Amino acid sequence: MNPLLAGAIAAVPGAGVVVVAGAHVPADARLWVWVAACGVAVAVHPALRWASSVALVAALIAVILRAGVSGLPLLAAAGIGILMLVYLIALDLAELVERIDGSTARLTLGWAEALAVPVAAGLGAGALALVVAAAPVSPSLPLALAGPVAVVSLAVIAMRSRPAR
Amino acid sequence: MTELRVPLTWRPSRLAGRLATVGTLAAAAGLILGRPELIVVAVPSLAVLAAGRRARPGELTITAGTPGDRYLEGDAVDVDVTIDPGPARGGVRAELALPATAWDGSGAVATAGRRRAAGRWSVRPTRWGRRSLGPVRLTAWGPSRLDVATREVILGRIDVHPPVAWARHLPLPPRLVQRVGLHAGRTAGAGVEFAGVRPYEPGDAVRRVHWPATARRGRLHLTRHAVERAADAVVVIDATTEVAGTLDLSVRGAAGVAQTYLAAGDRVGVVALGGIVRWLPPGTGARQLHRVVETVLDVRVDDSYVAPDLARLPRRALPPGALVVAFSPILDPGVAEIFRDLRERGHPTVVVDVLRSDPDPPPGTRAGPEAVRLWRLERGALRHELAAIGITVVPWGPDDDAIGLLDRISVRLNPQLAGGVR
Repeated sequence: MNPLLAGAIAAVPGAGVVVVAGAHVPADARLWVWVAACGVAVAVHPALRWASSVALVAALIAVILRAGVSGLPLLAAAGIGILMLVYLIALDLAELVERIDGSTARLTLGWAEALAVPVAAGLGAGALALVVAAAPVSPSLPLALAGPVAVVSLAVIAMRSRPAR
Repeated sequence: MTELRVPLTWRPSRLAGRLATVGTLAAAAGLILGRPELIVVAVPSLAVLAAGRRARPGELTITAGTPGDRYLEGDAVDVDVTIDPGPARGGVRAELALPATAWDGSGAVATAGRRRAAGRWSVRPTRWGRRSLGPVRLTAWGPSRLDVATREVILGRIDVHPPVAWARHLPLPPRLVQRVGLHAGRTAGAGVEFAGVRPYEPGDAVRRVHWPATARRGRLHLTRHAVERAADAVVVIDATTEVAGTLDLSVRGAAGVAQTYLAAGDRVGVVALGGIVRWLPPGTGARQLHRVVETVLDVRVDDSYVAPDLARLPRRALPPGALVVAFSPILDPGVAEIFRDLRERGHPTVVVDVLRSDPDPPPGTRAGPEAVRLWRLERGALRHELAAIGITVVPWGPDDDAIGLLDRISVRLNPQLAGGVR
């Protein structure tokens, strides 16, 4: 598959990150949304993907800071986190298939098998964050920290108890 | 088949790097600035990093093989590759990165997960020599693709022979050896080549009566046949000097000449002149062809202060009367002396001048072009000097990959052939 085409397909979840962030950003911080969009766009090129991740997260930090005292809704933040994870995973898949001429179905199956458990853990953590965000409690730093710490601890315990194949 | 066990040294993969970048930056910013939203953004990435399995030390096994180990330039070489990922449970990618100066083609095989990777690469060697099948760039991913290991391996080695040469007329020494061969000798014998007629003598076989001559002369005449003999040829390679690819041409020419004589049933030997004088005594057959080609593939320019000397050669390396076909740029005076020595020993000697271009004069000097002219005159004088003692000097032609070279040498040795050779 052509590397630029693979990168362009992988950039779709990144564009979702930009859209979600853009929907919640105040008007005076639109510039950072454009920076984030550029960060996603440059990821089409294989050599610029790490730089793209840095640019995207830096732009997100700026957007959240400019979102004011009330901040970005936790629901949106959890959505951004999940989309960001999907974006990074999609970039990995793009790097896998972009230099293969033949069928990519078997490769994709093997790749999915390798990443299934960690990605499930990541999505589970994001879902937990969504649940926490939907709960009728005021968002606070300790509460936001408690969820990830619990998820990470459970994931580590699960991995250690999993028998080696 | 070659089986290689490749130990793996792991480091974080690009995926791990990107996850760590996003997770760390967002979490650090969230903690420092007291913004829970950023912590929530970082959670999925950090969870993947925490839940991913780390790779353990180990080795993957790569098995590769080719149908043969000797090929001609331009032949297709099929390489069958199988990779057992071992601890690389996130996938393996192997990419054949052959140097473009000597190979045409490339190949890659990839797998993801725990599956084995298998494939067939078809490549073509474009230059003779002992060629390595590689490097093969291996990239292996750990069980959760968060670790990566890269290595380069060589799958093996093949011998690439120069292309086969052919000739309509083989240059032959005046004296053929007392061995049955394919060349018509000067004496009568039990061959098939017509050599004339002679009067019948009692005891001659009647079936050899030449009836047209008998009818014309009124008495019985018999057909005479030429005896069929083999020739000895020794190919000499001058490896004392390498200028603008002269050694490459010498090896191509030597291999082509040897193949042609061996195909005609003659004995062929090799002498390589350099700091180390290598030699192969004359022999016949397909095995000798492989020995000759392997000897010429081993020829290299040796840095040595020892002048090449024929006195170090055993007698059987240069049989008496053998035709000597030497490939040389004729730049080393010591080598020119050796050619004189060979001629004085009675060997019919042909020198193929493989230097195809004049040296470039140094830029910005007025004397440069004059120096090149003098150099050219000196070489002309040397050629005339060699010709005066009976050495035939033939320049390497622009399209001579040994094809046509022997025909031209034949014409120089026997001008009567010129009508039949273009």
